[in-house]
Amino acid sequence: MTYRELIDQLADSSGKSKAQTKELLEDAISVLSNQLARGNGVSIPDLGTFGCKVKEVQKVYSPHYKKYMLVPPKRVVEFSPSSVLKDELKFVGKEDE
Amino acid sequence: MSEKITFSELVDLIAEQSKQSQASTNSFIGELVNIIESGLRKSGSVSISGFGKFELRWMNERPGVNPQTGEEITIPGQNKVVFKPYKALREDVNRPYSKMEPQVLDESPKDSSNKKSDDDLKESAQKTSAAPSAKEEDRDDGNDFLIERPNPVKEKSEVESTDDSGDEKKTDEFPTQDENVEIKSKPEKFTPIPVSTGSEKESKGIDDPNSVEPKLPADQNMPALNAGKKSALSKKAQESGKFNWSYAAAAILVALVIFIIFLLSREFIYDDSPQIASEQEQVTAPVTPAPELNETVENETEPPPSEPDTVPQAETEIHTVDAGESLWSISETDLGNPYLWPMIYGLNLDQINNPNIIPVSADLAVPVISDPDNLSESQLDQVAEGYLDVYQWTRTNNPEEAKYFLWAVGVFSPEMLDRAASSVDQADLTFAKTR
Repeated sequence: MTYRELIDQLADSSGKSKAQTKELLEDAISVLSNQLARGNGVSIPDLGTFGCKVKEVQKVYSPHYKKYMLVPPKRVVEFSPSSVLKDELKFVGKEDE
Repeated sequence: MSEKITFSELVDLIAEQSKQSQASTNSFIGELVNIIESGLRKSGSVSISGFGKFELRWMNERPGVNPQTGEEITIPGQNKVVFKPYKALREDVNRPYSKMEPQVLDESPKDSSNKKSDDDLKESAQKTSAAPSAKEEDRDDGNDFLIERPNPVKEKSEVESTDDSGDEKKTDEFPTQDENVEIKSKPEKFTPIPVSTGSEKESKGIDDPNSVEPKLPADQNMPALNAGKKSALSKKAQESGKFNWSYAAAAILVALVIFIIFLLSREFIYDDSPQIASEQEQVTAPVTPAPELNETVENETEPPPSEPDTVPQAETEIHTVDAGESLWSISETDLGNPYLWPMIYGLNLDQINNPNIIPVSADLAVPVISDPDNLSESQLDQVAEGYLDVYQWTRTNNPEEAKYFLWAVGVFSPEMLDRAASSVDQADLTFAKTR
């Protein structure tokens, strides 16, 4: 599903215009991204939990340099789906096969 | 370290930004979630521009173990919901660390490069951390999230200044795994232990932690923002600062282990180092391996010719023989070409008689060769000379095969073959020249 289809359906179900919906969605997403950028996680009911995790320095072997490398720490987004979502979608697309 | 905000706080913030009521924002998000779910159900993926993409990923059935009963079960195939953040989000989230580059470590594990690069990382982190946090502050609109978010770099420096007493304990806890990594890699590389630098290494390993200390006063000049929060942070600081100590401790331990190995190997060769030897006996007496002869299988394949080129004159390093090694394998790992093994033989005639048998824990002189495919004239001569020595030995012990080594002499250095013409068997010489 593309972004456009998402906005179309969202506009349909919320009864707002597409432009309005798009603006709202962008606001929501920017607030959410902002919180994640600050390292704050948030749970959204029925969807799942967004979080932020720091991966610490790792020592890995680089086949290119044929040496060990120190990979710097990195902060990444984590998402774990809520159990509702997980269960709902567990066998989607496979049950009729 | 990740804090959490509640869903209602999120709704408040979104409502504020979009100037909608909280109720309508709430229902809007509810609809969004529904549509994401139905989108996943229908097409298996939902993309939100500037944010990320939700996807369904099918996990095949796989064997597993019931953790409670230990019973083997088959985990049925099922869909997994994954979220892949797009670049903009990834960069936003990683901003505090974005200026840090990966660092290539020096190959030899005994080097204190671990520690050094770790320090470098820290330094670069200190330089860069001030900038991004300042930026975030600007965007902050009076929210106090930033101030409560502990600055990861700050924590590191703080551990060093406040946690000196914990040093000892952590040395015990963490280095073990790092050390294992180091030691595992050692046999593959056969890192030679230079006689002259062993003791320097040791003192370096000990000095290093001290050299970190003097930097600390500078760290305390970090932005005043966090100054009051120190005590509150120190708990967290201890947690996330640990890996620093594990690196430091690992570096020291590895230096120690190498020093001990170095001492061990010296004890076998030189009896005229009473001081070191007596120290040595206290520490590692039970570990002493019994010296034994090591039968090695020498590959008899004929060596290929190498193209001559100009490479600086080879120096030598010391290689301590481990059980199971042969001249062939040492040459392969240290010189980069197994066919150059007679070089090592030629350089160590005093320790090796039969090239097929080398004594375990002998310190062999091994030439340093930067490019095994392009040997210099003098290196080629050295190889040819080595083959000549092998020929001489084979001539007396296994006359049938000696001619092949003589032929190899000619391959590496035809002049050497001519010079040696008078001292070799004429039939072998004819074979070597006409082959």
